[in-house]
Amino acid sequence: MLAYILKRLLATIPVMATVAVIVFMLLHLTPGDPAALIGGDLATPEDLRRIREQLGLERPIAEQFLGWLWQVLQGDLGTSLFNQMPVSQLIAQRIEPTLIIGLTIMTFAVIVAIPLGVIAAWKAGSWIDQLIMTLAVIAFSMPIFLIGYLLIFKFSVELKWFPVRGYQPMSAGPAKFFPHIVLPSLTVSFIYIALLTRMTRATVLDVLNQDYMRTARAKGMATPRILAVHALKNAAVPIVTMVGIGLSSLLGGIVVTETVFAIPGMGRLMIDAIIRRDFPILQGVILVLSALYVLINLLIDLSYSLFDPRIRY
Amino acid sequence: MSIAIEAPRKSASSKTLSYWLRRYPLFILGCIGLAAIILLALFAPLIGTHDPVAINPAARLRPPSDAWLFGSDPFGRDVFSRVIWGGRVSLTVGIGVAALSVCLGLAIGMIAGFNRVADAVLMRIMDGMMAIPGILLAVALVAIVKPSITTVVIAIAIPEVPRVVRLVRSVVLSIREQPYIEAARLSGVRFPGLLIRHVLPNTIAPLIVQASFVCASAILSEAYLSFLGLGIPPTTPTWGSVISEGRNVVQLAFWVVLYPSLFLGATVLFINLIGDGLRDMLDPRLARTL
Repeated sequence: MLAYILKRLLATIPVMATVAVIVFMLLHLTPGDPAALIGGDLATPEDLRRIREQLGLERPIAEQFLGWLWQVLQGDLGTSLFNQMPVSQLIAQRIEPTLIIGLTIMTFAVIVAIPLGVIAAWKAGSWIDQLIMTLAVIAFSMPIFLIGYLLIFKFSVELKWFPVRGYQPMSAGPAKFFPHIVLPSLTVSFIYIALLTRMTRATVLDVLNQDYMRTARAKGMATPRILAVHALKNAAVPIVTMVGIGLSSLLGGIVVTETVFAIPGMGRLMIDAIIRRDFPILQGVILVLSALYVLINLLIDLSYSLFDPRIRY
Repeated sequence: MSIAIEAPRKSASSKTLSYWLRRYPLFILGCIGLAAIILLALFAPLIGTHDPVAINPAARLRPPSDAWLFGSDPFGRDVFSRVIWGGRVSLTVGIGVAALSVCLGLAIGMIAGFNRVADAVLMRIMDGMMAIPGILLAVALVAIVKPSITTVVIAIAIPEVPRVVRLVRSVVLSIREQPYIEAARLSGVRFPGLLIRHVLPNTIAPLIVQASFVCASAILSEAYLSFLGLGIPPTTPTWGSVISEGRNVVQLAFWVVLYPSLFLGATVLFINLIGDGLRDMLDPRLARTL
């Protein structure tokens, strides 16, 4: 087991290294002078010189990359060009809403999507399957802001159950914190639920066609038990894998949702940084979110043995 | 005699139609819906009731009425006309991204599938790209170039490439070992011919399905970029830019956001329905892998 964990950890190194190269190259692939891009149209030669100096743009590119990488490995993501604050500190201030909403969506979506997918597979071809699958493809196609604004109109403006926008940190107490995360989480959940429901249905359908399912049925096992014990257990690994892969679209969804609900999360931090051409923040946010994605997928990978005892490391 | 020939022909064709409708109702719905939206976009100059870019400060934020079918936006522009003109851009972006990412993915996937060394390098790069959430990568790419339709298409296509590469690679890997490839090789078919004549055709069915899903998600991504204020410059009407301009007045004038969003959602839905239908038709086994 320990050897396997180590092997998997090592395997994430090339992935993260590629991410680092892509993130670093973003600024240097720009057609023209990166300093001019950051400075914008109104930058004076003096401004450009200052930007070049702060980012070390005069040095050879390999040296710049290694220097940057060394800093990143030490947890230093650079300094904001706009207000001279460390990027890691800015991200630390903004990570809470993004993480909390992301985890809420994952939990909620798994609770809703897996039963829906199992029911759809069990009743494959029936009206209930068709209804679930049609709803899933609709949910999958709806733009996030449309879902967000419709929810705001119904539950915030009309019913006044939840605040229209904004965020309260967890430290403000659950009574203040909780109402702010309900609608944003619900908004992105639709897409994630649709994705997971489709995946669950497909894998459970596969399992239901196996011989041992016929055996289970023949020996008189009750259907709920067959579904829960035999079908779901055998379908767990692909479903859990999908939970991890779908995380990528989930994180993208959160970025859009943060704008709809004016939540000061990492997505908003990044968009504001782009508008101000504050590249160190842009690079830092992408790096942290990608690392998060890789880390969660690593944990999911390691969890396979929980779901499938045949998998021994 | 002519009657005898005519009768079975007629029944055969009507049978096919009803068969298709029964077998793939959602696919047919998707085709009709998408065709309607394409027609609206194509004939936008004829159907549009106003100039989509003409600013009319006197007519700001008019609610939907006979004169302003979908109301007017904060600059007094007609939302209906902007929506049908915007369809042109959104559909172009969708098709452009699907074409570009499929071409790039096909080329890279073929190379990866046939060359071990290139495979190791390329797939590591693809893994790295897939670790960056697609929208974030697109946002970052748009941020470093001047936004235009072309740059937005490229920015949205690049994050889609790895998924196409993986698909093509997996098909190539399974075909490479087939006896007929060996036979073709032994009979002296040279490498490019082998790829084009014997491997490429096998990738077409899954690629068509994948392309439809890429097209749908690209249309959404374009709208998200514009919504975040980073996409195609707002002077060009696109669904995303219309929505983005309505963002700040959403509580006053929901119609500015609602109608383009509905068109956007409907278009993406129609394309996804077509993609699901194609997948079921072309290869039922794909239902599990896609």
